[in-house]
Amino acid sequence: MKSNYLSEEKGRGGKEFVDPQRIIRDKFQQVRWQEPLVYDIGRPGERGVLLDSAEPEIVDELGEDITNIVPEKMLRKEAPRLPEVGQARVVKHFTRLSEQMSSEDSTICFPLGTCTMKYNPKIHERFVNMPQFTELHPRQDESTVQGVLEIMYKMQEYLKALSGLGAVSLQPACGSQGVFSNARILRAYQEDRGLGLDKKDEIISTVFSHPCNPATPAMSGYKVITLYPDETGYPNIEKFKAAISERTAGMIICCPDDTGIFNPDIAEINRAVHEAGGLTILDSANANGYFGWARAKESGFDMTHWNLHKSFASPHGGAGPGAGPIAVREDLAQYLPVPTVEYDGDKYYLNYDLPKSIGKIRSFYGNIGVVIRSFAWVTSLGKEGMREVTNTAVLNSNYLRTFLEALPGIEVGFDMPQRLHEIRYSLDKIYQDTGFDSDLITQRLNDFGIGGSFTSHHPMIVPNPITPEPTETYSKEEIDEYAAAMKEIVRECYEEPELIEHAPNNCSFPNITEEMANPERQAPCRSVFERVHKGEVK
Amino acid sequence: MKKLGFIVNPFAGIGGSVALKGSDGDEIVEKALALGAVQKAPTRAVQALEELKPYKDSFVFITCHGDMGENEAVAAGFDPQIIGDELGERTKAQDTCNAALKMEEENVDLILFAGGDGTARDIYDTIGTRIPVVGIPAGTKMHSAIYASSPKAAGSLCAMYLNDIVKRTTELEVMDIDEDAFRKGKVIAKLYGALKVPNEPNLTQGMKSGGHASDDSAYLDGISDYVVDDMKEDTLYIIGSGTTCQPVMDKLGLENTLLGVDVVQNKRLLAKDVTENQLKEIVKDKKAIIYVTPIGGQGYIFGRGNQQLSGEVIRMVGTDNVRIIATPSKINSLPKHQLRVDTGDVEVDEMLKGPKRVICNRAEISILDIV
Amino acid sequence: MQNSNKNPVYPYMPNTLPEVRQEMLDRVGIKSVDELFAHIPEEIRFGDKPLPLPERMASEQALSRYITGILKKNKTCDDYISFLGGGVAQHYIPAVCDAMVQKGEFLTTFMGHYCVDSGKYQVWWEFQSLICDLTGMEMMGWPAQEGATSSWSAILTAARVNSGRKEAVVAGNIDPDKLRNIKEVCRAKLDIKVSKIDEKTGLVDMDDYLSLINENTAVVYFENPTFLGGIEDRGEEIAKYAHEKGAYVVVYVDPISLGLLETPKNYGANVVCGELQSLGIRMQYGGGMSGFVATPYEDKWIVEYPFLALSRYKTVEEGEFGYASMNYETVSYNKRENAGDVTSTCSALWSVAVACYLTLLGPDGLREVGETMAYKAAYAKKKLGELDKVDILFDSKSLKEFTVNFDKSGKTVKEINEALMERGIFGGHDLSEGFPQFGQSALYCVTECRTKEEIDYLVESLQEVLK
Repeated sequence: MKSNYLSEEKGRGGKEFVDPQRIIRDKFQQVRWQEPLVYDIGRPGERGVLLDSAEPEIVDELGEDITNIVPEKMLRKEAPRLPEVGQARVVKHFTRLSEQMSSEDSTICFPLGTCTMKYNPKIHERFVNMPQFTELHPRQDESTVQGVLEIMYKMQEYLKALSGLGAVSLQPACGSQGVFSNARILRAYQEDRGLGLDKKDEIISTVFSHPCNPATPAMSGYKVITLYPDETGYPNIEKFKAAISERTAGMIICCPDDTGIFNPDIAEINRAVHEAGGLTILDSANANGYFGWARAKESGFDMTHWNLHKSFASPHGGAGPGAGPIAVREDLAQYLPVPTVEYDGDKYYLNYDLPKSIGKIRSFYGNIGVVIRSFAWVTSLGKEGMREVTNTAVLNSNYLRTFLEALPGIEVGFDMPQRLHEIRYSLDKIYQDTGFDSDLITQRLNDFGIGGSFTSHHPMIVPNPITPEPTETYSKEEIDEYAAAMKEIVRECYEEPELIEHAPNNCSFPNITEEMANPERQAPCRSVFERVHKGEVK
Repeated sequence: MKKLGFIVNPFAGIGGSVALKGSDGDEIVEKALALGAVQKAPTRAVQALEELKPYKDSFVFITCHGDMGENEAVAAGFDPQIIGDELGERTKAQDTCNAALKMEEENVDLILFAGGDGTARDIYDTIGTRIPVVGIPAGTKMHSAIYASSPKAAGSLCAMYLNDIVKRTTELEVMDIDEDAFRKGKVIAKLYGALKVPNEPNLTQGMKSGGHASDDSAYLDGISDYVVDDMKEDTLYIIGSGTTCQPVMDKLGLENTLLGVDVVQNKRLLAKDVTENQLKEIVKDKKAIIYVTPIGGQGYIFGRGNQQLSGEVIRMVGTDNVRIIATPSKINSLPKHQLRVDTGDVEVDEMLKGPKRVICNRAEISILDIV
Repeated sequence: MQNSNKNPVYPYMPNTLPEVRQEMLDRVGIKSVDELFAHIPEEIRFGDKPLPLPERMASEQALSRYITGILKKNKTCDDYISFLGGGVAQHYIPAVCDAMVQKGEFLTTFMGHYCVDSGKYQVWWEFQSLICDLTGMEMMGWPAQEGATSSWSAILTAARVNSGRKEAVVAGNIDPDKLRNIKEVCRAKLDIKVSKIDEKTGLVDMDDYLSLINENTAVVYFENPTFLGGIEDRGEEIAKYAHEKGAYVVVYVDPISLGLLETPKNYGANVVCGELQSLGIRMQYGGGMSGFVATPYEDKWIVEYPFLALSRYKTVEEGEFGYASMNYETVSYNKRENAGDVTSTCSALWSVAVACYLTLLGPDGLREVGETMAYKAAYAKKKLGELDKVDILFDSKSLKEFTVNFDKSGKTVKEINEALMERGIFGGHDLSEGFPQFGQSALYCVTECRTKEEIDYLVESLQEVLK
């Protein structure tokens, strides 16, 4: 069925718009519960749940006086001031609050560039809520956890296939832990060759890397050299060569990066770093733009890490738990965090015998629930499906582009014409004309049921940026709806500015005041809040 | 055929090489000349005109007497039409204004002028945005965005406009330093007005903005640590002007001139607010390192407020011993993240061009192109 | 009837439908998606090679069978009676906690504007507040990845506040993996001195610990209860001495203990940190962990606080309050010093579980569950101690864990645990490698989940095994 909501009007490049009047949800209203704080519900004596007590025989045997078994001076004298609420009211409290948020499950689409918001398949939740997983203690004998070890091992194999690299660790719990691990491995490798910080203390990165890319190597003692892009949107090879010297230990970059650009010189750049004796690290945060089309190995990278809670369909949970597994060249496997998961043909086991390992990045083995979901996801897609993910994501992004570029005042940032799964646009012209910056403009999207928007990491190179990423799970209709909403919003910027000024207007909470900037009026907890607002709280 | 009006402020930038900031006011001009300052504006004006030479038969060239245009035009090989009265030896702001008015009466299509912020203010006061202008940078405190990035660029832009290659114009800022703030140690450029300029962004300067002190304190701290920790015994450290250089002097506990150039040796102040000649004496046959910072919003590391660091001084120190410091927010304010140089010595400019390391923090470096 | 549509169908990717694909290609102006990747240089382009992955498992039924089949190979703490502890333990998870954490809204939310996601921010702020009330501290932000992260984050934070000092004193009776982690992460900034363990109590050797504190000490760290199980009751003495020397005190707790046991704030701690798994998070093979760092609400601590924190503010509507980040600038300011980027993913979903748990139990419920554990653990300790060939190694009191020594039996912990497994029991965690000075010892953990029958069965089984 062809789209029946393209308008008669045409925009730049002769492209039709999507007619907002036919499809945007302009009566969208978010629930507003005015739900009090958990402290302000219930009353003393109420209880949400009762648990077991120690059996009377036990108490008899030890004596009712608890100071027999716990030092008296260690008993808490004053009870902590926690809420006392009956169970139903607790359920209502948290349920109401859950209705006052945007989520991938409900929002029309979630154009958050580099966060790769995609549908989190419900079948995965069935797996991770099985007691055969949730009731596993990490210190259990390996013979009892063969199932989870099998999944971990096979996930490692998947990641080897997707990167072309020889060894994987699932331990890092998020992207920055992944980068951190790779930086540590880099340092261990160089030190092993007698090229420690006294000889090689520089790492090259670009300004588009996630802020953790420079920050985490700096923690390992490296200096970071940041390259700025040309007008194309990426630094040309000469800039890389100017940054490379005998002090170069390695390079960390994102390719494709947050602007959606795949640096065509990447193989040559990696060769240049290798010639100088450095290792090259790929930040695969934007893997959604490369599955099946490029791999770390062929592009010339020695190490990489992914964000499973982004590209691999594991839910974001607000801000985690996530997973940032790493893959490294075969010869770097000796440095991986312990333990690695191995298979001896007969059983799976945890290998702690890595004398040159960089140690543990976190307790135990990683965020395994995230790993299980990702494993199920890759399994359900297989070799053809994984490439289809990127094909669809990149086409979605370029399809959306035809609508956004047709709007007055929106331009793709930088000159490189080919873009992949996400694209950075500039709304600077609208800002120059109307004074509304891209943050404010995208806040208005929430009034149409469209989730949060990503502008850019700091520093903001493109002025007034937005970076939508319509992942492969969004339908054409949803992308059209987003495009229609943007068209409507651009019109409002010029013709009905009052709708933009205090956006979002239809959401759960009214806007906060300038108090936000006043350190004297801040309060991270109840007791500080009560002090600060003495007498003002109802 | 288009008509070009050409005005030179012959005393623009006279204070620069003798560490007198600016050239506003007759006393400054006298003082500068007494200190042995050489006029720079006329030379720069000629440099700009060189770019127009290939087209000299395709437009009408109108200018003022003597050093306010005639001499430069003739030196560049033009045969100009002279208007207005004969001028005295020391021309003043009023002369600039008169000239502009005269040119408006002559219906010129474009005014090409050489000067600094003061000159831009005078032109603005007189013709506002009624006639498009191209500015040849020749002053000291060059905050105004209207100036082209170099005399050559000014000439090119002018040529393109006269030949209809560049047709659009845009309005760009005319600034001057907020004198009150400057006395309190802050470089804040005050917006004074706007002039209409042909729109070819590559060739104009961008607006200088005052230092972003509040966001940058961590980086400034890191930069100063780097610079101070790196100081070697007996080496001379020439610390340039600008808000990024100030924390370096603060860390050493030394007095600092915000708009001037200071020399440090063995972590002690060797010379304060030096002139070009003084610098030449100090660095002769000695090892020296120059620390400069780009003027935020424009990207000039030489040629806009630190004319004491002339081409010759840089030659003596060696271009390899020029080090650049800048915070990320300053880098971000630079058009296309590029650095620019305009030492007055074309050869030195060429030697400085290319990718260069910029120190941003204790352990952070950026690589930017000097263009 | 077979599906006559030859094109593969992808339930998660509606735009793979041929007519939709065509419409989109037409609008973009290309013939095939391949053109979108043509700019990737041929030498590195993977395009025509198949990925070395298996064929897709298209049917959800097949996927379900496959994955649940693999997971069913596991044997869990529901199948065995578990006495495993050491940072993670099987606690009772109230049904409401499960329900909330599995809600699609909480599970699949991400970075929304403060006005749009006010529900999420309110839960997070309530979480901050509950931890503050639990610990008595007043500055609290996002949760850390897990307890070990919170340990070194807290140590580094206190060191930054005490800038200039370059040493830290760390108790020796902590998880050896965590100790290694602390040493590695802090090595650039601090010289870590590790104290001896008192062989009688399993607590820190007080003389040794205090002797390591001097004018160069930025921070001292100990855990309560300790990894080996004992409740440290000399915290006041340690804090007094440390403060006299100008050092800050960081104490790591098991927060489920704070209903029954005193919060470190009340015996002199400057920073309280810990592992939140015991407050309503399922174990998930070590994937269900979350940490916290709580400090005083004073400028010098706020400026160095290592994570993003939410604040509650007035809105434009009288009487209604909203939430927004309170320290973005200062954390960004510090971010070069910290391992985790401020916008880094952490363990936010679990804060929902923790907020639910603390609300459901309330102060009385938390005290009761503490009592229950203390009794059951003490009972187990007593009964095991009565076995010959078994020694309860330390005479310190326990909340839920204690150390059992088997040297007299001549058997290794490994052998004993294998035999216990045959009887359906997960014996205590083997400490012989991490703490060789204590011979063949194991860490036994008894939570509110262990019944008297199960404990009696353990005692019986051990008696058999050690014959």
